[in-house]
Amino acid sequence: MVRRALLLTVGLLTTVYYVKFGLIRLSAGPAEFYMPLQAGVLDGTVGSPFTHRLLVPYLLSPFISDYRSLTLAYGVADVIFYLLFLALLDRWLCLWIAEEAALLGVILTALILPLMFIWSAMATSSPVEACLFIGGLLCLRRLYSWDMPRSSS
Amino acid sequence: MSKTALFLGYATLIILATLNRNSSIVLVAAYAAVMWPRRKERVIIGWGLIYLGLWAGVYGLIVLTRRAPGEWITPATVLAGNLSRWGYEQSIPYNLALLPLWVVAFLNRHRAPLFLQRLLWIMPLYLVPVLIYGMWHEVRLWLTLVPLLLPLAVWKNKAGK
Repeated sequence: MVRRALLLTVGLLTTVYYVKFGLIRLSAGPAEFYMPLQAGVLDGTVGSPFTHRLLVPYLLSPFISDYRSLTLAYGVADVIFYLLFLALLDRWLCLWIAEEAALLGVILTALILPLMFIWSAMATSSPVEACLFIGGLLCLRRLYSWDMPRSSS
Repeated sequence: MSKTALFLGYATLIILATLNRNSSIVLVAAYAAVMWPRRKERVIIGWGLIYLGLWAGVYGLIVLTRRAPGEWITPATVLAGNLSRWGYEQSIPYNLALLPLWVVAFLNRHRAPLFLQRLLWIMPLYLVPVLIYGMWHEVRLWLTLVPLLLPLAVWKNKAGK
């Protein structure tokens, strides 16, 4: 119960930090930078590497019509994937270390996240990449232990 | 969940990750690194080849069907930015702040289970492109490595695991 409450607090603080450091910076300009980038990915006119990063622009395109909706869509997606990353990280760490140490690891990571919000708000492909990677590791861990002698793990 | 479902789930993750970024090759490399002791099993080899083929196929298809009108950012531009005064004034404090964590992870690596140790093999595959194409002040580039390094950094034997 206490652990869940602490994890919830970490999640809420992360969201607040994103709004403070990420979204406020976004409203000051980057949306104008990202709008042609978003459109360019969809119609294939933007240069590499962005033209090869399709998942997030296509995933968010139904929600984007102007600067405001672009900022909102990317902002909400950022928060969702950063929080998902923290949740997956907690699950991953609990496989290896005691729950208290895992909580420490999640808090430590949450402390690093605001540095990412300052420079990389709307770079949603990064938290998506991290979520898919850690999801892959969780999957791999289960595959690895299948039919495996315990001494090898 | 069945074993086949897990193999298929991993394949799905590779496809999605490749649609997101080409760095998804680390998922294929992670599979190879972790499954290395079981490399003589045909099922393991077979799925490994499928994963490699999926990554190459999806990324190849993206590159072939979406001919970029040039590079948005070139490695030379990125390097110039990284080596500029502004670049290192930004990147040095951020990366130095994280350094103790990574040093502890490195020192602890031999105490951790083999599974985690083998995952460290894939780090160069991620780090070298980051050094060439990445902006060093962007801490988000570390995010993917957090699940590899953090368990080592805060490692303490868990009874029964």
